[in-house]
Amino acid sequence: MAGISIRSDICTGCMNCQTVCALKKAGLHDRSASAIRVDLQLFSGAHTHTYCRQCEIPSCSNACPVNAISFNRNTRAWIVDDKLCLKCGKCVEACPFEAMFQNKEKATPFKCDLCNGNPACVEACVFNAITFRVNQQ
Amino acid sequence: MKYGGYAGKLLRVNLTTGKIEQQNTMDYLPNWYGGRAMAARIAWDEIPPGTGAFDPESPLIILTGPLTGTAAPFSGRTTVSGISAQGHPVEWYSRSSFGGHWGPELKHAGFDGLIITGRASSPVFLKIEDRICTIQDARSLWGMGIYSSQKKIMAQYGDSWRVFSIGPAGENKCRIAIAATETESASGQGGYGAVMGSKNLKAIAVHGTLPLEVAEPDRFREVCRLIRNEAHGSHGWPHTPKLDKDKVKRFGQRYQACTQGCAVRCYDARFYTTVPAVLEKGKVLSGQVDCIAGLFPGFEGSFYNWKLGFEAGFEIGQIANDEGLNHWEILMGLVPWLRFLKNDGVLSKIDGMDIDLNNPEFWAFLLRGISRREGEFRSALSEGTVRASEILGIGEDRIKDLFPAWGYAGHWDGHGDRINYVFFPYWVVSALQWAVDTRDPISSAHGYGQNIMGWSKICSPELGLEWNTIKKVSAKVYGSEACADPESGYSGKAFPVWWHGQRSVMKDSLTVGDQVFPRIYSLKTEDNFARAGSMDGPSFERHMFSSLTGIPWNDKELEHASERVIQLERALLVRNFNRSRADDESVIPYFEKEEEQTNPLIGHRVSLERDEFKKVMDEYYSLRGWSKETGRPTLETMTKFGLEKEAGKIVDKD
Repeated sequence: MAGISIRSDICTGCMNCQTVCALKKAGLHDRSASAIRVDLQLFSGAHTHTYCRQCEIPSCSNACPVNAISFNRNTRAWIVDDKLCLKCGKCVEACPFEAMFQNKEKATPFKCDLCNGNPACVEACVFNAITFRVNQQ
Repeated sequence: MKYGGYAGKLLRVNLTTGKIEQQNTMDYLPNWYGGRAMAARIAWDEIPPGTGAFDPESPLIILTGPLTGTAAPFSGRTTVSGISAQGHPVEWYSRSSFGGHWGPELKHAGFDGLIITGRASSPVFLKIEDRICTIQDARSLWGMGIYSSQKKIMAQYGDSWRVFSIGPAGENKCRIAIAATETESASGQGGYGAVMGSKNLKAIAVHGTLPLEVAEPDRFREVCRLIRNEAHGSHGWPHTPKLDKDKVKRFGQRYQACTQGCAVRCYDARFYTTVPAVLEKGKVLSGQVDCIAGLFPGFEGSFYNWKLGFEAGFEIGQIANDEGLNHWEILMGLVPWLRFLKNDGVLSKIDGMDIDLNNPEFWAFLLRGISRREGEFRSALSEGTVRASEILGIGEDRIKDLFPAWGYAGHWDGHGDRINYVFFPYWVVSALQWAVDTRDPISSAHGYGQNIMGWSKICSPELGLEWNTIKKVSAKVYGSEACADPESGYSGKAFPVWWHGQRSVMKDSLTVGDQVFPRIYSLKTEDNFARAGSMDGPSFERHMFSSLTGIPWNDKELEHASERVIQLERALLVRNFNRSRADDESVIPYFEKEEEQTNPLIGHRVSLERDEFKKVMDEYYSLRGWSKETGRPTLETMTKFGLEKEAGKIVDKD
């Protein structure tokens, strides 16, 4: 499997990961278009992060009634197929990490697709709080 | 919205009438392209002569820039402008700024900024969410600290809200009152917290979900990526500081961005999660320490060598933040002044308590008394140290040791500020920056003295550059090696003031962080001149601006627009306050004292030579297009910047 992992204890709250993800995926600055979300804890410093773990047993894919979420062996990411997707939102409800997003009813849910193997968030995090791991096994 | 980056609307709030209007940001674009630039235009149009800081009609202008809240590195800042309560000898037009995440949130709420006038009949706060602004009752918040009022509003509306608030100091119109967000991001200098307080405005709470467009998304993303990766260490210097292992273990020290988009590990921006309180025993404190706040514990071996210790110093710094008082004024002006008076035998107690800087009880007594205007002495200090000296009739000589001008304590000036290392001839540039400004000018002008010293072997023994390299690299920017040559004396010192003048406007208008930009020196290129991809370091800001907004300016055009702001600000000072060359020269006596540090290449301490400095001033006026006699922009200069209509108000003023 592959995926990103985040060390909250290193995160400085700069938000670069979130802004860059939306910019890459949607071409604008829109937090709701980002597949990685940072919830700043201004007074404790213990920021929390919402992001896809690319689970080995993916709740989102298992919940999909039409198998629209499949594993891409090249990118090592679970991908939503817009053509198959019924926009029912069951995957959003199923994700234990709340990392499947659907901004509007009847919109195709979206998630982290690992940017074809070069995640923009990882590059944007100059503090190395976000790392990208690829395990071919 | 025609241009990318902008939210598209400005909020105009009249707290006297309760009227709230929205104005198109486009009314000011592209010439007055954000932040300080836009504020200058609004101030010229809307602040008539005779307006004081606390007059209800005096506008408080809070503005972001196009880059604020975007993927641009170091871009989370917001500017605050208006008639300054801290300004001395008169309350005059000035500016401040703050970081954190409030500005980005405001833009996602649909607004590039606010222009607030009037005075509410009772305490209020503004609630702004997705293009809707309402005025809310703040009576239950009045009297609360800045932390408590943020927490109370966030408890009501949600953790994702961002709140810009004043504390008791602002409510009581202390002239050194801040307005702040989070635990350390303050509009510190200028006394704008008092201006908010005078309007009965406790806080501005924002939350937004609206998108911000980008003119050229792929180019903008690539430009930002390159610039982020080019960034060096703390303050844009070559070295990257490590965390303090002991403080990590004991107090949970960690790096924390002091503003959205930060991309360097900083000496100064540290968050602490578990600091045991000394005064409030049993309590565990958390919060950010940025910049000068690191001095609260005292610094052994320096001029600031009191011994509070880390825990008590941290707690006092947090108290100052919560009460809403200006850290820079306290640490670089007010407390050193009190210590001078004690050591000079002028004063041993204030309002009945011994002056003892090793005693945290004294600090708490001092600061809480200032913010709440308790006791004769502390009430006087709430007017700022310079005014307090006048009110109390003591310590005038020591004011001259610590405060270069305009009611502000020293900063990278080589004389009053004894923590930042800058020697002759570099502080000649600082002196001229102080001379022509309305406040401590270093807020947006760290790019010269701090940058050169930080890149020298003196401040960066391992990674710093040799003087010859600094000279060669700087000549690419300033046109002459003399401008950054440590042995150049007064030669070439006007140009950096001129150049960094517009660069400061640029930083406060786009907005980007002052500590890092403009990028000049580098360890990542063969010739040590900063570059990223095909971009030269000094062009970074323009590339981000043009690819984000779609405003197709080149470097010269963005610099010209930024210099226009300086001309209009100067014209405003002439029109409203009769600003003159004589005012500018009033800083000279301060710099005629012997410098605090020694240039090792000279070997002895140096003082400003009046006649030489006046020649540098002549040269600066000439570069700026100002009359050498009066210090006013000439008609020709105003016309060059398209300000011929405004020139009529100042050129024939006599």
